[in-house]
Amino acid sequence: MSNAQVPFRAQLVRSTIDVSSSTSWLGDPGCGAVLIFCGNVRDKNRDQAVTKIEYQAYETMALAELNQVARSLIDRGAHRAIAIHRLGMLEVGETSVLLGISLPHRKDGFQLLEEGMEQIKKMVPIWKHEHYRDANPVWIDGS
Amino acid sequence: MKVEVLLFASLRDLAQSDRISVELAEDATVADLLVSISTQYPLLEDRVALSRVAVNDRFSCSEDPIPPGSELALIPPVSGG
Repeated sequence: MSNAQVPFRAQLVRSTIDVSSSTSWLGDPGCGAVLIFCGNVRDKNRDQAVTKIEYQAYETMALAELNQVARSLIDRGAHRAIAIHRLGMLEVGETSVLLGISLPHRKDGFQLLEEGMEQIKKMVPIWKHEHYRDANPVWIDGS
Repeated sequence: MKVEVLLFASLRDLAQSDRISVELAEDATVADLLVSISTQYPLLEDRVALSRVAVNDRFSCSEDPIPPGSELALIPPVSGG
C-alpha cells in the first residue's frame, strides 16, 4: 500500500465531505478505476419542497457498520474502499454520503458501489429529519 | 433487572428523551425486551413493532439473550444516505 496501512476507511463527519481528498486516498498504482458515489440533499421529496435535512446517528454503531460496508467491498474485489457519512444539518445540494472504491478495471465497480449503498441504507443506524418549506419536519422511515 | 435503552429519531421525539428505563426478568431475551417496552411505554408501541434492537452495537435476533451490562438501543427503520 502506498499511502495507507489499511485498505478501507469509514468516517462520520460534521463538516463538508472532501471529495478530492477521498479521491486521492483511493489512488492505487494497480487500479485503473476509481469510482465515487456522492449522495446529495435534493430539494423535493414526497411532493414537498425540502429546505434542509438533519442527519442523526447512533454514532458508535453507525461507524462500526460503515466500516463493515467498506470492509465488505474489499472482500468483494475492491482494492481500496472509503465510506463517509455526514451528520447534523445539511442544506440542499450538500453531500450527505460518499462511497468510493478503487479497483483494476471499472466493469465490476458500479455494481459493487450499488451493493455498498444498499448496505448503508439497510444497516447503518442513521436517520434523516427532513425540513420542508410548507410543513413540519418529518423523520423519514427507510428500510 | 432494570435496563436502559437508547432511543433515536422518531422514538426519541415520542418519548421526549434519548433513553428509557425498562424492567426485565433476569433471563430476558430481545423479544421479551420489545414486549416490555410496548407494555411499559404504550406511546412507543406502534414504532416498536417496526424497530430492531441492537445489543452492544450489533443488530440482534429475537431469541438472543440480554447479557447484564449490555448497551441496548432501539433502532427504528434507518434512512441514511
